[in-house]
Amino acid sequence: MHYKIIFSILLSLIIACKKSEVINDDSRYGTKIMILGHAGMGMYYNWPSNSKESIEACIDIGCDGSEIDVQMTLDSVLAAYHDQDLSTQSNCFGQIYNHHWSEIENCELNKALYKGKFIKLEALFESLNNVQDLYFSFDCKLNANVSNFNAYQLQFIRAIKRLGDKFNNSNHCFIEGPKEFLNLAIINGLKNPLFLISNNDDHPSDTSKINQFFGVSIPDESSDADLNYAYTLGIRTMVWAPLNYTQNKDVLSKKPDIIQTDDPISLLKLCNRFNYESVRP
Amino acid sequence: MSMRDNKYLKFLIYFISVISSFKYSHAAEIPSDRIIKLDLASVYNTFFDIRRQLRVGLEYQIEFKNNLQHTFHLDFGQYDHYSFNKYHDFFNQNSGFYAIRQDVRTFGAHCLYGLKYTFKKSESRKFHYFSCLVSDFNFFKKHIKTFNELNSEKSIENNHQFRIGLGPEIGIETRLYKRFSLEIKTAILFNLITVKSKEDSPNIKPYKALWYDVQHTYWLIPRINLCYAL
Repeated sequence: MHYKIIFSILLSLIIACKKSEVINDDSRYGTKIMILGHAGMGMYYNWPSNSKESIEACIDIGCDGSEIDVQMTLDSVLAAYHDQDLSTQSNCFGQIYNHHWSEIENCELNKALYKGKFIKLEALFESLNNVQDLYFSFDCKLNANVSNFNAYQLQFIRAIKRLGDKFNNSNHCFIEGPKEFLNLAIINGLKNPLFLISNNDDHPSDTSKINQFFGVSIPDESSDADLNYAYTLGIRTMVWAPLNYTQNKDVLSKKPDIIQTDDPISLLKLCNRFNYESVRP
Repeated sequence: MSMRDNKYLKFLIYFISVISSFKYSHAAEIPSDRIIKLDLASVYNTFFDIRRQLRVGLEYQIEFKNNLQHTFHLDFGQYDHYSFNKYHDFFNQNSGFYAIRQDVRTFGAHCLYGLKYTFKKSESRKFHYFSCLVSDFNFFKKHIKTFNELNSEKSIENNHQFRIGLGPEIGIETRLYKRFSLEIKTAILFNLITVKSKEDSPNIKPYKALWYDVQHTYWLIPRINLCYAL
């Protein structure tokens, strides 16, 4: 009697199980959808978002690069950090632009299992072997509270330009920002592909077309029709940030040009792009 | 420490809980000193993982003294087969969009010899507990085919690796029905020697292991054996 139960359970398990599937990852332009980690491995990783460990890990497992939240210090150093206030994700206080790099470089990012250090983009790029082969998207977190916002934006643009010139990878570093910032970047000769960041509630594709931006950066809830419309205008689409396998699958079906994902592992596996040789501590 | 697949662990826990729920009216004594076993854990990934595997794990056990047995386990087959595609120049900014495609296959075998001691083997007990000293001789051949679309270049790389591990094992066994019984055990193996065909090639992991450390200095092999007494 018992062996029948065991065999029934085993049989039902075998029948019920299903091999993982591989999904078409073609883009509308006949190439492939680019897969970027969202601030590295995303919000569920053991290391904090925007830490060196998280960004390196996502590249190691097969991502084409990573989105990075970028802020600027008082001395024009571009640092990876998301929030306006340092205290929300680290053991320091205040706003990044009110500090010199030397004052924040030893701050600890503490919103994950392991604590990470602040990283400046220059040091990150230096540590990567193949930085010119990789893609990055700088989500520029501008500080609107500064006294001279225009001068601050110009300082930010110059810092991005210096970084691109140093590593000769401007065309692989996308800039996400509001319209005014991107227009200022064009005027000041920034060569990076520019993506208008939007919640997709203000016809971003039209705005991008008019302003000659490279693309739009929109949430993953954006519809297939929205993405198709952008395609008809020749505007590239960068979509953020599916959180899991189901959302990754859903976003893939809409065929954006770039996906920033919080679950890069399942997305890469879905596309036969996961590097199984990667060994992470 | 890496965990290969937590679904595997769930499967193990589920299996143990199902087995534990049975109540036996008959004696738990296994009626032979020679037993053949099929490792159910080996077939798990054949069904659940995107990486195509075709493996079988078989074991032969013979008692040579009261409560002492020799066990010989052979797990062999295709341990891994997957594709890895890496794309470049997505927006045709330089040389134009192209892919580098890899097809990776790993074949090999784990040969485990164990010296097993069963504690207090008696007919009245529902489960028998045992411990074992296990040695693991594993051999792998990794075959990597690479195709670069940019220059239509094809390359083939073969890496071989032989490794010996030694360590303790604990487990439980219980009789299911007549000559059938079930055995669940876990061994932790410590690396004694690793020989590779190319010194600079990356280590091939012990595929039968559920857990292993980054350097592959130790690894954990669980087995769920369906046993038949000859």
